[in-house]
Amino acid sequence: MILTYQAMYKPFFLKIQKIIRQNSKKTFTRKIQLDGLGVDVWSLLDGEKNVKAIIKKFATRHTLNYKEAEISVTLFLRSLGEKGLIGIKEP
Amino acid sequence: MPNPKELLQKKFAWNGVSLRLPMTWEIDSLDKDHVIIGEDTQPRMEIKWTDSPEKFTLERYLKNFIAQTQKKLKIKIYERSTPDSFKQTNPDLEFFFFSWESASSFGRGSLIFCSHCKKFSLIRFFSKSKTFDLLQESILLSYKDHSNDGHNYWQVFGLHFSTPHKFSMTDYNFKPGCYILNFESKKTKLTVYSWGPASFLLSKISITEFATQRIRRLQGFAKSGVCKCGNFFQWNYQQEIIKNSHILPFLNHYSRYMIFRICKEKQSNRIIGVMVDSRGKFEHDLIKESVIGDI
Repeated sequence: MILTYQAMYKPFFLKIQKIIRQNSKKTFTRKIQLDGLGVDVWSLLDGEKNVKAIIKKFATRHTLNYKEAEISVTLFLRSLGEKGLIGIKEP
Repeated sequence: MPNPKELLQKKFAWNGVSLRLPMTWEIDSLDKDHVIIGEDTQPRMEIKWTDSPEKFTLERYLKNFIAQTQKKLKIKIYERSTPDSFKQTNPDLEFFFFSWESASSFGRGSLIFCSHCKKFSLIRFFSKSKTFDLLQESILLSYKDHSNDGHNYWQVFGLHFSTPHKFSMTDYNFKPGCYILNFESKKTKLTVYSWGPASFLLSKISITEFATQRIRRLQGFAKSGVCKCGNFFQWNYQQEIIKNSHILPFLNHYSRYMIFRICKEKQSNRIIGVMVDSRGKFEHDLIKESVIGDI
């Protein structure tokens, strides 16, 4: 599975763009390819389940220890959040 | 009301100590001689252990130990009487009960001295009550700080294996998907690997390909066999100090004898690998008898 999202240029590159007056776009397209485990977590994101429920489901599906699943899922969710692909709402 | 012993379904074993825990309790923090166990986001108990000095008097050592603990953990400790259920327990273990309080929390705990292995352990529970409940008592009663069969047991984060008592842990690393624990005894090194989830890692490659990808220094061909976990593959090879050093016989003294065994444990969905690195001879017995249960 490939996720496509818009990323902002860093201010330094925007300045260079301004100087050379080329390509005035502020964003560019980025792609990330998810492996099997990533796809699995992605499929669990339905806007209903909370993070704990996702971790539990992921741990059960792959016979993983809860702590191990917790670390890997939260790291993955954090990286998706940093890219602006998901948002986390408070209960 | 459920029997507390039935609630203690999870075993925790680490660096010589072991006890039983409720299924929902998880390790929050782990060090060689210190562990904090919690449930959800709340700490439930803390264990710290140390070997006692060769010459000491129990009373004086206890006093010093309590003073140091109070200072280090910023808590106040008060001595408490021994509950009836602890009066006829393991004769090797002496329990000293206390209650503790800090600025934000309080609870009960016990200092345990083992006359067999001369180990001091401090177990404290974080609770809302100032008395022991049945669950805490059952956890304390399940506590062991040595085994009688010459093996140390390790049971954390889904890992489960044993090592001969003479091997001490030198290093460990728990990363999601890959655990590595290193042990050493004299000139023999033992490394236990655990990778998971096995079904995902082995979805596109065979277990031997996986092994050669992860352990780059493997040499020669793998022999297959059957062990308790299922089919295993094993590499035995001599690692020379310099390439082709076998031409000079006096350099053979410096070569290492390596055995690497890998197998997939279906029940835990993990791949277990054991590397034995020794000087002088291949340690086949060590790999057969001790590590990963009773291979």
